[in-house]
Amino acid sequence: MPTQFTFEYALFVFIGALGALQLVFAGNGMRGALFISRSLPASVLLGGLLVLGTFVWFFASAPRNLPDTGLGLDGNDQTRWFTVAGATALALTLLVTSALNDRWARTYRGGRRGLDALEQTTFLRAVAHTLSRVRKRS
Amino acid sequence: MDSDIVQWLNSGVGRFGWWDALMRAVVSDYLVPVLGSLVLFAFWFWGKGPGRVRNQMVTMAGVGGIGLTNLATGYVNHIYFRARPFVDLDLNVLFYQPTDSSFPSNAPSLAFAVATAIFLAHRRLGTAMYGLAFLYGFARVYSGVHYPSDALAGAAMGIAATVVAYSLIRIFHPLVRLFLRLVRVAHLA
Repeated sequence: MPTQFTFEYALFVFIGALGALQLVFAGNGMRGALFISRSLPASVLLGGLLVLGTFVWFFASAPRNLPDTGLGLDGNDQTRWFTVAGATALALTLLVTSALNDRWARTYRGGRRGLDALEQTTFLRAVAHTLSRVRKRS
Repeated sequence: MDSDIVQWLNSGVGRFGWWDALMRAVVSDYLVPVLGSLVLFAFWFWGKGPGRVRNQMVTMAGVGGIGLTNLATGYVNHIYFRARPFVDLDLNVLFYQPTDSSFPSNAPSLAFAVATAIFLAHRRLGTAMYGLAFLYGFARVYSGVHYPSDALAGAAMGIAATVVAYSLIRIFHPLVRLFLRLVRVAHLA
């Protein structure tokens, strides 16, 4: 049964992962995966604030030197919850930015592979385009 | 000598409040591990073209290194018990008092595993991560929960684990390439 601390740890990682993804996507010019696709500097600022903010909140809000055999999390639990929170942050980023940037992404005609497609379109548009290409081939 | 170093370093506890507060934060189970893991997570998506492929390979090496060093340190902890320094010495402990074996230190081994992975692809960021990993190991000794040799052994195991994981990735390069191509179809690599 997840404890209050587990929830706080997962939230800490989730917000940190959201920020890290915004920093990386903005650095790569992948506008299709940005919450503020019109401005790369604003996205960098948002990403930086999310990362900094989550660390400040987590460590300033309560004492965090908790025994991993007691109220804290041991290495295995940390790994498990980091994976869950990181994957959730990635999924949420790709889905929400697909909705936010859909109008901008409509002109995409394909031709970009993998993450590179996010420079010209959103994740869902890129996946839909790839699926339709596969369907045409088969 | 191990004991002398711990006692000498730990004698600084209480002299500067700001330094102790910093050490309390750094020594935590959550600051350096989460920061390192977030850097590794972001590294998967970072870069363009062949540079990104390389970053993704070192991300896999980092994850593999974490797994291997976790197994190795866990195994050594299991077969060889060394009491924590605060058990045998008169120390001001800045951390909770763990009851498992002191040797080797698992915490710096994870930080050094991540730093080594990053260093393989990005020298400057990797050097910064090594600095952070060193600070993490230092904080563990300063706080009285590890001997220097515990931290050094953990660091060596973390570095070795990632080098082994990276070597395996290079040996199985065609399979790794195939995996990356499949993930690229889903626009996640």
